[in-house]
Amino acid sequence: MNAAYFLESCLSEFNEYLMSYEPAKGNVLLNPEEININAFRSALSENINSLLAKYKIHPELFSTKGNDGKMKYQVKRGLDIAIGEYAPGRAVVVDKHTYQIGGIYYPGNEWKKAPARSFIEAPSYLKDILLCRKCEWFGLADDSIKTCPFCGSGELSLSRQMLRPWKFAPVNAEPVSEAQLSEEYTHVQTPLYSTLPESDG
Amino acid sequence: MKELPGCMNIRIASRTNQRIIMLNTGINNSGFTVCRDCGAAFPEMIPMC
Ligand SMILES: [Zn+2]
Repeated sequence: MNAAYFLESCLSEFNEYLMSYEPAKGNVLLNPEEININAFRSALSENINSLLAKYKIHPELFSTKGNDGKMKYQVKRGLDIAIGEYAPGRAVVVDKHTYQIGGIYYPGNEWKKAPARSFIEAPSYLKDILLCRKCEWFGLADDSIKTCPFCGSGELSLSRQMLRPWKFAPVNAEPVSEAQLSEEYTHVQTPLYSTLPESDG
Repeated sequence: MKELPGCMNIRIASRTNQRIIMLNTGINNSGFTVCRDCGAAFPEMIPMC
């Protein structure tokens, strides 16, 4: 069982078990005559709940590779390259076979009913983006930004949200024929870059 | 940060350790549709007009 599965699917049951658990007298590790079992229960439960909080912010730290023995190819690219080259819809050639990227996927999360949800609900993956209507500056939404840091315009609005991808996977995990690929998908998408004009060095 | 004469929206600065955001806005800036449950995703194809 991996940690993510435990936190998502077993934690409440485990907590119930923990609250009713009574160690036997003479138990080597938890001798009820030597330790305060109530303090032990609440400390353990508190520690696990703080893990759950961490899991909600950084799910990638907890998902372990479970039974992904079937994975045949894994291509590593920096995120800067991957968001253009492995974006959904794009064709990727690996070992002479063409695959079409069909989604964002984390290996080992197959057992989940909704393998993407823990990422999409984590604030470090799905972010609001502010866009200046005048000069097209964009940046992470932040309550302190009232006017455009570049042109000073007040015409800032929330644009489409930004999703930081974890890993990309091909459609149906199988190659596609060239004929199945649509032309528009195949050209490279050049990413846009943005930074803040403050914090000048 | 220095201004560039004649260019209203260009400034020049030399910096280290900056956070840079990279954004793939999809085909014709149309973005992507992503399933919040399973992660399946495809580019939106809103025609430019
Ligand atoms: Zn602006």
